[in-house]
Amino acid sequence: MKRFNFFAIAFCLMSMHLYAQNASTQTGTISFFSSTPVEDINALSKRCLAAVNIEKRTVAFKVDNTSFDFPNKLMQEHFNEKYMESEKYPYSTFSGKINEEIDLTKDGEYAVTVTGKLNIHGVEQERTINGKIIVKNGEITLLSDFKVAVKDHKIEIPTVVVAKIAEVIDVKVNAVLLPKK
Amino acid sequence: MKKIAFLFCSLGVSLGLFAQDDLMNMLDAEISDKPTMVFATFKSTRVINLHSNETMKKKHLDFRIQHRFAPMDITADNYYGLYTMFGLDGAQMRLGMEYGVTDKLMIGAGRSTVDKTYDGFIKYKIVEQSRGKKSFPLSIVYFGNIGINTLKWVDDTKQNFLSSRFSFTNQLIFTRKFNDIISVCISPTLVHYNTVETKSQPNDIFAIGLGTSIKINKSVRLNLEYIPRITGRDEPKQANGSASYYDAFGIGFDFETGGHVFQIHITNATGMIEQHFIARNVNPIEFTQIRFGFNLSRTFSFDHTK
Repeated sequence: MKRFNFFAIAFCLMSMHLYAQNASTQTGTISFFSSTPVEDINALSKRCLAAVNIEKRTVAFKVDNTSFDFPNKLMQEHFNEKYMESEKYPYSTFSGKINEEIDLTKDGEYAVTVTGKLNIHGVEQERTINGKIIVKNGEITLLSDFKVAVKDHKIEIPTVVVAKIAEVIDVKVNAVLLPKK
Repeated sequence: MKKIAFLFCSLGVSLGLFAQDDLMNMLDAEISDKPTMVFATFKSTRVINLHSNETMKKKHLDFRIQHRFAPMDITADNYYGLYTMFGLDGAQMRLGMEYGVTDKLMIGAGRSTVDKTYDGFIKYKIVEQSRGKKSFPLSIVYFGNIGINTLKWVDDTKQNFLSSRFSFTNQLIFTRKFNDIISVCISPTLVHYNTVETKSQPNDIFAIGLGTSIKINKSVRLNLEYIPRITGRDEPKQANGSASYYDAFGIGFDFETGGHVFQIHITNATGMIEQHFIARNVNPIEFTQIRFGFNLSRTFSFDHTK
């Protein structure tokens, strides 16, 4: 009986260990920047969901398009209504796998490439994105800088504003993930 | 004891298994219960004449130039409208500055050529339509204004009171965006004049503003508006027995070009504040009274905090 209890507790702990293989956050930040000679536009969301599976080395990001905050609210409305069509396509997502064989349980800084699917405006693109992962005391920080061409995701820009919006948008991601309890 | 331990274990295992599932499913489950606010119910703070549920966002200023032209007058006498360029030779206008104090509260002031009227208003979003869990199906907005007629006194010899110049509007604006294409507004409105011309004329006029906006493409919308008065429809009568004032209607388009919203429409109303187009619209809904009008809105952001 005692042995069984010991076994049961060990098994429970083991399964909890399995469970702790995910780290996640609901407050990652994503910013993007469009630069043209006419106008610079930037926006920031602090409500990016991100998760990583430590064992499988998979990552996932998901952000509500309406959570992007623009200094000019008219632009924000246009972004959601005319370009992202946020009512039809409310979220932008990325899910992929880390190509490098790294151990995310060990502290350190790792330069990585992640191959996966980027879905913006309902259009999915296979992408390999460069990033950096910092592991420290169980906290996993995901950092990335990448570019998105608006036409890759069928985002149409009317000719009237074509000079104001860049064809390629710079995107920055910064998410600090904690082990999931 | 054995059973409990076993249960506990299997629970642990199943949780562990759950964690192995696709990460994206996990994120989907984490999407918070916060409802998402419905945006862009209307393109502008006005449907045509009526206020919509939209307000200027915090620290954003809207400079508005509104015109209502003379009747198009498409008659043979007038070379089928060409003589006055379809009414463009005559115009009433309103200039306004309107500002978002917070994302919910907007204030504004303007001056109309109609009765040389100054107006000041506040508009407050009481509730906003939202989607998702814990959503709310409607937006409800309060709008109130005060109008000050600054015409010279008709009779200088009698004692005139400043308060006679004042008129007021109180309005609740109910709107719903049904889908990406159609939005509707219903606005019960009470217009009060401190002073009226004749004894039989009511000081209070109750009306229900009806408006809709239909999306045509990403930058263009079609708007329709009709504002039936419920009380005070028939007084005062003209000498020939017909009514002096009429309900207003409008059909128009919103065009959006970056920082501007350009609204062009045809309407039978010449006034651009509620007192004028709801309670004092002298133009019947007749072909000869149809006129062009436009609202031009330019937005400036004073939000430099980010």
